[in-house]
Amino acid sequence: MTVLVVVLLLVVLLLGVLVAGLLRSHAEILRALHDLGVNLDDGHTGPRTFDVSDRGSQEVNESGLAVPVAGPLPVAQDLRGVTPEGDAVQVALLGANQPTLLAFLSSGCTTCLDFWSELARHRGAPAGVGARVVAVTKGPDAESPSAVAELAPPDVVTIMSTEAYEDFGVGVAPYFVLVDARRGVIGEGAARTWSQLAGLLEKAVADGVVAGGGAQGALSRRDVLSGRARRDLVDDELARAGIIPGDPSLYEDPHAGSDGPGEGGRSR
Amino acid sequence: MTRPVAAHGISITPPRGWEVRIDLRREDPIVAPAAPRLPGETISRSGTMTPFAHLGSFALPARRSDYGAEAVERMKARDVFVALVEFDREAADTPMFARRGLPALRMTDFHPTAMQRPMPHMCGAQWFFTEQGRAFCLYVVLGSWVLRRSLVTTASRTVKGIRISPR
Repeated sequence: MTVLVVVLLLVVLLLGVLVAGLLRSHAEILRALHDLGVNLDDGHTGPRTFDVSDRGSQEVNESGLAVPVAGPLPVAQDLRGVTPEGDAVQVALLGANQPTLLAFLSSGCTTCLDFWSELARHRGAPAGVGARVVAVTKGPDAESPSAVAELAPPDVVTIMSTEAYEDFGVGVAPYFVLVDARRGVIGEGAARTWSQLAGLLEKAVADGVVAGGGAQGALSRRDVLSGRARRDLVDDELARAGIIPGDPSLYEDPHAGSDGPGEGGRSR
Repeated sequence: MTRPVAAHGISITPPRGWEVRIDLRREDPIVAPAAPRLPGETISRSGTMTPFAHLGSFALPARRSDYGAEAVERMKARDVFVALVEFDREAADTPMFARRGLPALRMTDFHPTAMQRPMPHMCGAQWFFTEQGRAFCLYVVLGSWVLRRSLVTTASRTVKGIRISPR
């Protein structure tokens, strides 16, 4: 009898461990899907916007954010689609009076929700970029127009267009593309927060200026994102000043000593 | 020219680089008081739902009234704005809308005082017409009175890309 009880207890313990393992594995899968924009919460009736077949050329990092891959930047196309209210819209990107920040968002991912509310709060792009914002979701075939209508700020042009996702090779939201009115796409990438987006845009603008009117598509996507062009420019400037790689002056502590001009200025 | 943008019985093939919106005026949930001679008949305070289309050679703002005053404010000297506003079906073929089809734009049609809200250096023109049993107003604004000769050519080419079908 005692042996039977012990065996039963062992079986129950084993099953318990098995169930716990399965629950943990399930939770990890749910978390990973959630980061990719798929919401499986109870009561969520919205569309599941992530589709592996639509991922295009992007990769996804361990945080679930889209990572641009090496290769030429996408060619800027005018956006065509519908508004969440069902009206027709065409947005011109080239020839406009200002750069355009395309915010590829969805109504399903939590990261996107933050960007929707920030767009409403700021009424446009992060300060200093001088770009107008166009929010882009997938079309009504993949997104709920009513869900997008609830999130779309009234002062931001919002367009539902699966065609735009395909044209710009965007598979996972959130994703951002900065289009210069004359030179086309000058930067792209994903961000998790509004401040990250601001940093990304500043770099893209700086790199775009450095690239100085190169033909559209001439910059590699990696060049833009890594700031390689900016690094080369800095190297050139230093070389002209007689400072070459390995120069001892590059390794001096700028704050060493208290009689420098800055310190002296403060002590007076 | 690009591919046409179509909605609500209006199809527009804009020049390259132009922005287009074809919207439906949203019905105001507040109902207007019934007219004394039509007891029991109610209508939204905003009137009936009719479409309006906006075309601009520049970035159109998200919020725009029927005649695009918010867009016109952003225009520069070389910009052109076109608004096509539909009226109630009952207005079709009335004397005000007696003209048939979209008009041919002429430079002499434009004048600074013809704008819905006069703006410095700009000029505008409007036409009322019936097409496919539907009553419309076409309102065109040029960013510069001085440059109107070349801008009318652009506007005319744009208007020729508009097609209206019966609803």
